Amino acid sequence: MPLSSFDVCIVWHHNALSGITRHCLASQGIVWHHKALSGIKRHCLASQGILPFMYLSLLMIEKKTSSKNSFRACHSLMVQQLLKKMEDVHKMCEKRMESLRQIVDPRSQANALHEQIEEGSKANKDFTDGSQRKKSEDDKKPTNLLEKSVRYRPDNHHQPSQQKSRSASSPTISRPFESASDFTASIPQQNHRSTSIGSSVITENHQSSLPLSSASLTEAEALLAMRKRVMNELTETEIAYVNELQQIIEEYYKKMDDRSMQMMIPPALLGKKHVLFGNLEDIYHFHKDVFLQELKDCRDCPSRVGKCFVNRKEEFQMYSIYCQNKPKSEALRMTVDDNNAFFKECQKSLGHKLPLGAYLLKPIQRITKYQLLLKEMLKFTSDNPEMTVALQEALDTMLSVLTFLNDSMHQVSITGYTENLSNLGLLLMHGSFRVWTEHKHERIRDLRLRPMQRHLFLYQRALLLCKKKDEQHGSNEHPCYTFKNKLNLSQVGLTEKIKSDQRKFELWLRGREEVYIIQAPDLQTKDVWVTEIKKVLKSQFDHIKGNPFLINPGHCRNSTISPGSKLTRLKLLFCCCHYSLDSWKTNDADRHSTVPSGMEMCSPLITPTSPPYQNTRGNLEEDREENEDNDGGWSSGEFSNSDEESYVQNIPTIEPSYKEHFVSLGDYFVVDPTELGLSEGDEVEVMRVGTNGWWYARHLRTDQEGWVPSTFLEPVSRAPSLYSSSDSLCVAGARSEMTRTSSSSYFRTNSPVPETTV
Amino acid sequence: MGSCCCKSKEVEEEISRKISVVGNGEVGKTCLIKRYLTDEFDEDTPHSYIPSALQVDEKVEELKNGKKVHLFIYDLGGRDTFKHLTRMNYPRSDAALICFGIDDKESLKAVKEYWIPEMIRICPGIPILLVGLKKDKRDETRTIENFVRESDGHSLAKSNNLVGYVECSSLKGDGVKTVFATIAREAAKRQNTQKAAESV
Repeated sequence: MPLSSFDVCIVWHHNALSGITRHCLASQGIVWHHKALSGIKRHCLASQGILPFMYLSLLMIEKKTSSKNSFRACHSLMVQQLLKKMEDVHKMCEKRMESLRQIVDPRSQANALHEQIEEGSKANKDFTDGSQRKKSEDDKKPTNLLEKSVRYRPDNHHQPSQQKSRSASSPTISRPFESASDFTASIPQQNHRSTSIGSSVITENHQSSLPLSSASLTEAEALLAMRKRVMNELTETEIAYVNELQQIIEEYYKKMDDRSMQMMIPPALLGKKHVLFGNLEDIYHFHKDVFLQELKDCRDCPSRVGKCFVNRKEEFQMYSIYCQNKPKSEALRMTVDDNNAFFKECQKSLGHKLPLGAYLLKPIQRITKYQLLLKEMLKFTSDNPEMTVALQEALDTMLSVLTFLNDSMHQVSITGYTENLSNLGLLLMHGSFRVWTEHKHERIRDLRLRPMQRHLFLYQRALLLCKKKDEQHGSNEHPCYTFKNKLNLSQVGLTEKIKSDQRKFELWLRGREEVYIIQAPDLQTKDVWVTEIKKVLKSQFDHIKGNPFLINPGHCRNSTISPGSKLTRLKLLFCCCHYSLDSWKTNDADRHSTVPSGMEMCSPLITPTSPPYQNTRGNLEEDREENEDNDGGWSSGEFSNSDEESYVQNIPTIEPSYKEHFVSLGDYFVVDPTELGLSEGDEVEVMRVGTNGWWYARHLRTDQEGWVPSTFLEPVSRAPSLYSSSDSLCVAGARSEMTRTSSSSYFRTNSPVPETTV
Repeated sequence: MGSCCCKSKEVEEEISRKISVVGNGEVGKTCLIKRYLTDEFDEDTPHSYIPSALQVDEKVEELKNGKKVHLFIYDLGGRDTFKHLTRMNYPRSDAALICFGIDDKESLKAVKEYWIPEMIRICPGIPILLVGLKKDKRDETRTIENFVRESDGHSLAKSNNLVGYVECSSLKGDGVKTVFATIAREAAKRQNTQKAAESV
């Protein structure tokens, strides 16, 4: 029975000719022959490749043997062996087509050529003409009967020509199964194949001859088979993707460091490897060493595939580095010309038809492909609610990754913002709004009556207000945004509803000293934004509360902090952090509590009927009376204006940019072998961001790699004197030194604000 | 389709062109390309539809003057949800096919409002051919109200200075060759004029 080997063939065929004959994988049944042959023919003609000849010889063996069932085992063994051999050949083929000619037996080549011409001319005819030929093949391979009937589905949308092909294949369809056992016996084999099955049709056509149980069984089987088909597509394309990446890494990327190639490399390209390729190498290693392996592990169990995606969300986000670099890479290639000697040489040695540019697009295409495959797989999970949930989660993950990438592309076009955008955390949303500003302060009584059109970028830590520049027709790929203003989310208060206009909301600073009235284009947009801003503000606190790192000091037991080091001060800061946290928590029931700034908006006090301004202000007044500290508005007066507060707010969102350099603020002794030891002043390069504030970094001096607590690190670029406002630094003290209890007891004695405030 | 045997000859003075195929999802871009490449309609696709988030195919198209154009056909994903990502695929296209489904008025609207401006903005000056797909669907029904009229396509192409408008059916195969022959001719022409301009 050639079915199983067919399967392997298809897979192999797909691997070998991936891209060009991709459809062969999806095709099936008897028509598979037709398609595979025409596919091969096309490939032969297109590339004069040797591979297809070998492939055809394989087919011939298969045909000869398949007519005799007794040879089945022997045959499949043979095919397996041949296949293995051919896979080896295929590998070599990638490098040198020349050497292949010698490996292939000239005789079989000649035979194959003959076969190819013969079959090719047949395949060339109209699809429907082949019915006669197909029928004769059916006789040779009786088991294909099922495959053929399987293709006949009731839910056909394309009537006219399919009607034709139906009638062409009708002789076979109407042929009943010899027995029910015949039918059921072939089911497992069906499933083994990487094809789709519409077995509902089979049951429809042959109901009389089938026992009911096997009919209902096939429903689930069919779904399973469909899932496997998509799963197969996922894995196969992943393999192809990894192969392509490997080729680019080996033949382009690494060649750029190759001495012998130096002469050919255009001067403009020298030393620009990272500009040209971005973090392609990291992407390659992730897919090759991690993701592909994980996919393979659940190849036979599509139910687990969802987890693969969900677990790797963070890794997929590294595509943002690639995407953001892409325009730079594109511009660089523009300057050096795609036809330069170096590119040409690499392309030639790879035997690529397409230039490098096409391959540099692959990662972007791949990352957008996953969600499509997941959606496809979701269609076939109606029998398995658990899997539906898992896959839906995976789909949501990949969609959110794409949104993230898409948005991160958008922000590339922000100009005029001098600081590092990555310090603002992830970009959450962006959109166009009308904005009015009001300054309450007497001296700067500046009430702008006319609204400004602003494009708002909401990051985890700040809101950027930008002016959209008019796009110059055609000349720039992206619209341009000029940076105008930045609102630290750690300092803003939010008023959800404005009486005058449902679409408006307010963000304000320092007790409404500065108010931004923001009008969304529609109510829905406004709701989404308000919800998201609330979420961000709330998460800043939840994160601190729920962070086990803070509660478990054991992790950093071994670290020492030199007296007078910056960390000592952080300790202090951290106490305040906990104070605000605790006070917020304990006063949760009492809405009039001293809430750290930014949290006010969670209070339902703010209603359109009672202007929130006065309401909160009233509380503020009270607070202020008890509190001696009375400069500025209440939200800023107590916390926001201090270093402590801004640091508290920033804890959850430390997001180093890729390969950003950091300097260690203290000595860190490893607890676990996967960690990296640090001495004060050591410089590291951050490779990955883990959970709970652990970063994977490379030591610039020793070249060792390992996990380090981000809390010990400060960006190199920052001036040390600014440490108190440096977010990453602040967390250091918090995470490494304090326990929740100790900190709260600490603050009780040292807190600037008496607890009685509430 | 057997006419592509020419490939076995020496590849002489062959010019290659990047053709981007865009349009809303599920209008039939992949089927169109498949029909062109293999001259067959994959019945499976509608059922086991796995949308393509891009794939590059190639074929040599011979022009009437005997010149050969090596077409690299970029089957671009139809989703514009992540337009900043898909946008990265367009640059350096030599020509584009903007597709819509004749049975899908929404897709024509998207062509007018999104695809044409987008293409013109990112790849200014390239020849664009408007392609109406699934012609067979209109042919087979009597109620034409729900379908895009041929004149609509022509006027849209004209008002936007496109190369033209072609209707075709990937299912039956009619019109498909015209689509690619036209775009190959236009793509080849364009570089010629450019080079001529440079040499002056």
